[in-house]
Formats: sequence, C-alpha cells, structure tokens
Amino acid sequence: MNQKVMSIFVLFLISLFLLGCEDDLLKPSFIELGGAPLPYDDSGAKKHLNVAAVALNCDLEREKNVSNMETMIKRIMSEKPETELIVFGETTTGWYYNKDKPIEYQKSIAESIPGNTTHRMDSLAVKYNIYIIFGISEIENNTLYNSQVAINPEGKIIAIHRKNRLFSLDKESGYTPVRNAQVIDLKGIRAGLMICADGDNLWLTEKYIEEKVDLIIHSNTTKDGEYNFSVGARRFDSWIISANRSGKEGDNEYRGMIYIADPAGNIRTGGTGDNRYAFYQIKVY
Amino acid sequence: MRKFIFGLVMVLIVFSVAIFPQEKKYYAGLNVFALSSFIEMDGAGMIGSMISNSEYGISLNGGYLPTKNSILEGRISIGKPNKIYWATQLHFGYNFFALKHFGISEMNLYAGGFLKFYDLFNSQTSIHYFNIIPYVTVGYLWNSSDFIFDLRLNQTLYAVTWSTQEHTKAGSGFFFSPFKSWAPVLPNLSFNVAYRF
Repeated sequence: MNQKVMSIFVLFLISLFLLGCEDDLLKPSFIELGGAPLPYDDSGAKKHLNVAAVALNCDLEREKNVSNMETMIKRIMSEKPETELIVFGETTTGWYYNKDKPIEYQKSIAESIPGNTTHRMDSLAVKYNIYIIFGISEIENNTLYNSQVAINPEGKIIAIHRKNRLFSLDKESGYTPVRNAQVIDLKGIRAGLMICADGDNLWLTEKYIEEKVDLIIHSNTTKDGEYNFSVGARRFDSWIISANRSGKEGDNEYRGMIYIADPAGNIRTGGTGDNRYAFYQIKVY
Repeated sequence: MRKFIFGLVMVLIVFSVAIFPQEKKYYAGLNVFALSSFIEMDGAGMIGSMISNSEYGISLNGGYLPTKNSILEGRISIGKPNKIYWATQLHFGYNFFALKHFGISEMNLYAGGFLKFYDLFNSQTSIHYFNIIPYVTVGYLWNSSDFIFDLRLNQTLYAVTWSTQEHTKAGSGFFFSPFKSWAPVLPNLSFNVAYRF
C-alpha cells in the first residue's frame, strides 16, 4: 500500500514538472493580493500630474467610437480643466472581440498610424494642451496589431506601443504580438505603456522595472468588478492608471472597472460604471 | 530577517523533537499542491494558490500529537509564486479533534488556529513585504498505515503588513478574502501527505 501511494505521488511530481511552460508568463498569484493595505505617503513628492482614466462604451462602428472619445475628452476638460493626461482603454476604436467575424471585423476597423483617429486626437491634444493615450486596432502592411498610441500636447505621436502578450481572443482576432517596451516622459514623470495582458508579461515587467518607471499606463479590457488592491503597482513599485471599456459587446459585458493606484497598490480612485472617468492628481518623488 | 527565520525553525524542531520524544507521535509531510507553483500556465497561479493555502514550492510540515485528539503543527515553505516573487513562510498552530474528544463521533474531523509569518520578496525591485496572519482551520484526516492524508480549509482572519518599500507605513486590518467584491470570505484549501514516525 505504502509503495503504491509513494509511486503515485512520485508520478504526480514528475508530471507537474513536465506540464506546460510559458516562458514569458508572469502569472498572478493570491499571495500578491494578501496582507493589509500599506499606507503610502506622497506628501513630499515634487512631481505632479493630473490624470483621468476612462471607461468608454464601445460601438461596432469606428466613427461612432472616435466621436465618443472626442465627446469624453471635451466632457473631462469642461469638468476638470486641470487635467493633463487622458487615458482610454484597449482597442477603443471598436469592439474588443467580434465573435461572428473576429479577423474581418478587426481589419474593417483597423487604421494605420498616423491616420484619421490619431489626427482627430492630435487636434484635441493641442486644443486642450494635454497628453492623450488610447488603444487602437492598427494595421500596417496587412498585419494587425493591438496598439496603444501616446500623443503629446503639441499634437505629436510620441509612442506607439504594440501588445506583447496576446490573450486568446486577440489571437482569434488576428493580432500579431510584438516584443516592445515604450517609456515616455510626461512632464518629468517616466511612464511605461502597457496593454491588458501585457501585465502578465515577464519581459515587459522586467524591462519597466529596470527602466525605473514612475507610472504604468495600462489600457485594459476586463470584465472584472472593483479591485481592493493593485497587484501591478507593487510589482513595478510605481503608480498605475488603468483605463477600460464598459457596456455590452455581443456576449461580453464589461463593468467599466477603472482605477488609479499608488506604488503600494492602494486604489486612490476608481470604480465601475458606464461611460465614466476617474480623475486624480498623482504625486511622484 | 534570515536569522529570525532560522531561529524560529530551530525552536520548532527543538520543541517537537526534544519535548515529546514518544513513538509514532510525530509526522513529517508535504503540502502537495504547493508544488503547483512550478507550473507556468495561465490560471495556474490563482488555482494553485487556492488549493495550496498560498504556500509555494517546497512546503514541508511537521507535527506532534500530544494527545490522541490534538495536533501541534509547524509548517515551512519556500518557493516562487511567480517569476518575480519569492515567498518564505513559517506557520505554527494547533488542531483539535473535538468530535472524537467529546465522544460525539469517531470521524477525524478537526478545527484549529494558526499563525503564519511570511516574507514576499520582489526580486526585481528588491522590496520585501512582511506579513503576520492569524488563520483558522477545519479539516479531515485519513490514516493509511503510517501515512496521513489531510484535507484542510484555511481561512485568513487578520493581517499585519509592513514593507521595505519607500514611503510606506505598516498597516493592519481584518482580511477574509483577496476578492471582496466577488467573495467576501474565501478560504483556501490544502492537501497534506505526511508520514508518521
């Protein structure tokens, strides 16, 4: 009996080691979510940035989404004129995933960069003297990329980040992954760009930690409800702005969970809801 | 910190070996599913944590049965919950077989309380997150000759946390679940296989 039990156990151990391995995966773990909140004191921080994270309802039609983005920017600037950076979620110019024709659909809404959408965002960035960062379905030489564009207050594209780690629905939608990291300067604050599942990419995480970024700008797609805590902020020891989408897209319903977290992982502002934004002044040492 | 951990382990060993030198009253075992932290697959981190009481890598436990219906247990584990963190843990606690003790049933059902200390170390930022956490247990134990199979539910109650991260202060508070909006109370499972000697 004992021998039998031991052999089964040894076989189990061997099978564990032989099971699949994803080299670049940085899997989330319960222990990262454990423990009590750590109060983070930013009262002595010298660099400030007023930021807004958006949860936008996305339509199937690109034109409608770009128009919604413009409306949201105007709304934020009228309600919070001190805003310096507005962040939108992943592939905001369309549905994240269209089950009926995933590749054809993404190709139908994809754009080159620069293109019509970036031009329209450029002019708003100049008009309001703000940075705008948003997710977009990009096409170049007939290759689809899940991208994130950063535009500065002069209306110039300062970075195009392409998603490193594709989620299964990204693969179904025909996107190509690209190993890249984009660090930008926002009024003296070093920020790393990141799209959704990039958050579980080891290479990108190590890269941004090595680059000592102060802020992670995360354009997300998640159905999750409110978070108590940001795992990512503690991984990077940096602030995080997480923007998202909201509403129903076919079978998928998004609750519009957005947040801004300090380096200790405390959610400073956020929540869930349709077509909304969260505003906060981040303070960086 | 290493000296502190080493000291605690020594105390556990001396306590269980020197004070209770009786036959077949000891056991040494392994938290089987803690080994799941070696699996690098999507979802393995969360599921692995839930079934291993958030113990990772090599997770050993040793115990002493001071009476027929009680167990004193120490646990130590060292492993990587993912590729940037190291988790080193020490637990100490007591389980009591109340049904057997009061003659209500012969079932090996028990309940108890533990205290754990762990250091979650971010190897990329070199930041330590230290925690002291009391938790309660409910479980069932099967004996097969000298082997013990122990299925246990572990529920965290409270957390005291401090860190080497700059600009942070120690925090504490009740803690029942890492996903409050989804499950306000979320116990973790563990499955231990041990050998009695």
